[in-house]
Amino acid sequence: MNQIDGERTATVVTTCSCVPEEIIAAAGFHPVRLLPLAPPADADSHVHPNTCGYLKSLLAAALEGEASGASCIVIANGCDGMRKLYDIWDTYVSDVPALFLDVPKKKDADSIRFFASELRRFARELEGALPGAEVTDEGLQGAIQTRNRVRLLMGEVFGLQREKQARVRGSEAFELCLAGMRTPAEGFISNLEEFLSSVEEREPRQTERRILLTGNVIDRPDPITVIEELGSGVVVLDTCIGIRHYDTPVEENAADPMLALAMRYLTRPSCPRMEGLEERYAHLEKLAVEAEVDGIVYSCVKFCDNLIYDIPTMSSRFRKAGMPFLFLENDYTWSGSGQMKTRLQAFTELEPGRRKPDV
Amino acid sequence: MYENMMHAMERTTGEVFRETESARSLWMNEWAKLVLRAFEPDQKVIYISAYAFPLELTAAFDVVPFDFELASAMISSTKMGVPTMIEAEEKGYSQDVCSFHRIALGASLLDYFPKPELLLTTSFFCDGKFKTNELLSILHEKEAMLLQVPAEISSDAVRYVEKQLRLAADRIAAVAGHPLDEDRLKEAVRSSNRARRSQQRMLELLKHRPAPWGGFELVSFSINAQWFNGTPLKERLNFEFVRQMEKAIEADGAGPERHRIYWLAWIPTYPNNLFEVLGEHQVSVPLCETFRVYWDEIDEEKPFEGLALKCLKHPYIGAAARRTEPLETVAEEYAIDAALLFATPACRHANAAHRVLRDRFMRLGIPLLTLDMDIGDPRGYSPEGTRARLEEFIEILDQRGD
Repeated sequence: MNQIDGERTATVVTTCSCVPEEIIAAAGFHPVRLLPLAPPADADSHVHPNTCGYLKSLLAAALEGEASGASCIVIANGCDGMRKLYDIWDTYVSDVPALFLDVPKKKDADSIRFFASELRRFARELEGALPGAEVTDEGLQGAIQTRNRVRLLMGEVFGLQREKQARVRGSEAFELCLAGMRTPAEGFISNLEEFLSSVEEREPRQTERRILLTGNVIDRPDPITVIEELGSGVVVLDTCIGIRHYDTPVEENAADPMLALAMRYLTRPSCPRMEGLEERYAHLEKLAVEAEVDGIVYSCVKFCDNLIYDIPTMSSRFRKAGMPFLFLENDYTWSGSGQMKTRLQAFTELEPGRRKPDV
Repeated sequence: MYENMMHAMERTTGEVFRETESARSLWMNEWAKLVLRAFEPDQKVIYISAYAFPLELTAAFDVVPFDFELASAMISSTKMGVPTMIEAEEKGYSQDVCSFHRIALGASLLDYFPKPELLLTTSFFCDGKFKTNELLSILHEKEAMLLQVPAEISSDAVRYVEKQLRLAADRIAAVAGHPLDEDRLKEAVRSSNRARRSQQRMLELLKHRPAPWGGFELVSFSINAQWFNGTPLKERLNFEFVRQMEKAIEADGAGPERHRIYWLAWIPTYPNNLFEVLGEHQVSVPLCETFRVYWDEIDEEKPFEGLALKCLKHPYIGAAARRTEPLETVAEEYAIDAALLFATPACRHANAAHRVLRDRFMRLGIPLLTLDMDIGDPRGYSPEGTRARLEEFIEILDQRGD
């Protein structure tokens, strides 16, 4: 599996940004977000075709043995499809055991408490599934501190990407996001520190159009590259491997680290699986205003119910506010790249007057 | 428009019931009456998900529960279905959005539905319902409350759901304008338990060969009649259907039967030939998964805990094993020789694991047909295609029989 670097046997793969990497790291394993390259259609014999391409590609990769190096996979209850992926994986993928993590869609105090109890259960299950794994409070505190350092450094990268005279291109930030999904945190911290010191000497440059790219999983550079080829730039990457993954640190040295993790994972700026369309709109609007973007591209892997229901509201509100908004559906592999290019070209050529948000 | 439709339905079904006293006409008549009550001035309407949210709770208050999905099913059975969906599609809702939800959104935009004071739904089946509930709450500027039901049963999970149900009761009380009457909740629970027992009686009768109840009505009732949960009406409807089935068995009135299908998931709500084709080939549906009694009697002394457990035990939550585990018993007790999964395209939670279901059935020697067909949108429906799929499947069953 091309995404896994380093010790393959000590790897635990995940399918969603809702899975606290800290617990896997505290157990002595290396968490890797599984971002497969297998054609989604290869899973059609095992899952209903009207299922999202990411899920199908995950399954196709597993059926083709691409995940066999991992010690186990953690499948979060991210959506109806993912819950069923757990069933299918558990039944047909024999070489990589699957663990299930339930994640509430709510973020009130009771849900946070419940999620903390679920995380404790998950830690015990992880210990049972992985020989030698032990999740201690001390281990968790260390993993939290390390991951918070990653969050802080990635926050700096995103800040530089967002500057009017940007020193970090969207495609660079994207590559770092991808690296963050597969590189052990300690090594990733060194890479980030090195990167950040190298960009200090760069000449800042201004892009013609500033784009906020949001949506669910985008793990291929296609839309970002196309936007840059058109003379524009992605200044905010609001996806589950982008800023949403790195936003909001976990409270360090908390008396109950599981509660601190539950708090962070449920209350960070949420993905559309969570309750709170209004809140998500407000957050996106804030990102757009702060980054002074000229338009929003809302990318969605087809058949993602959590996103498609939100589109009309998001689209009409942003457009009403004078913010150009483009809904860009894809099949996860971005197979319709020609069409995507045409649509992005038309979008980035919109009249300048339409670009000013009245928000 | 919808209100007028319900008035017409109330009149016609009322007339039929007076003439025939059929259980179906009573059910449809009561459905129309319930919906019409939601349109009455001063009524407090609460949107609910009847097949998932425990309506024993709303039954304890002076409120009218309204299920936007079941109401959409009724719209889709008429010529209003497609134009209502188009209304939502023109606002940007993709055809990948469940057709029931497109109808609910369109109907709300067209002002067909009664206005809610509160919107209650559950986290399980399905993501789309939860999203639609939130969208309708924004449209009506009323509070939406999500009952998060964990995928696994544990003491933490029971406490978590129980506490949410108590909070829901507080919210309903605020809308109803009166506090929760514990005795009334107990009575709703008692009624629910009695209905559970009569449903068990119905399940016993359904084991009879030939099947004493039509498949379409069975599946439809198993879902829609949950709108009356926690009320004496549900008990009465069960009683009427028990009586009807007993009569059918006594008279040996049901036709010959060559195959018996276990039905999974839903049925199409627009006019279609599905059950007609099955009937022509003497194929019956003695049981559907939505009619199984999966929960225990609710302890009336601990109603919130009991209702939490009822939610948590729902077969559509958690692993597919909850759907597959009872299959062996079901197959044996109901003499099932085939299964059919009605796969409406947007229903990820019912369809995604179809292969798991198929292989489980295969181990039992039972073929499963996954029938891809939309639940509420007739625009892609082909009677010839449906007939061909069903007849090919029946042919396989015949060959196995031979």
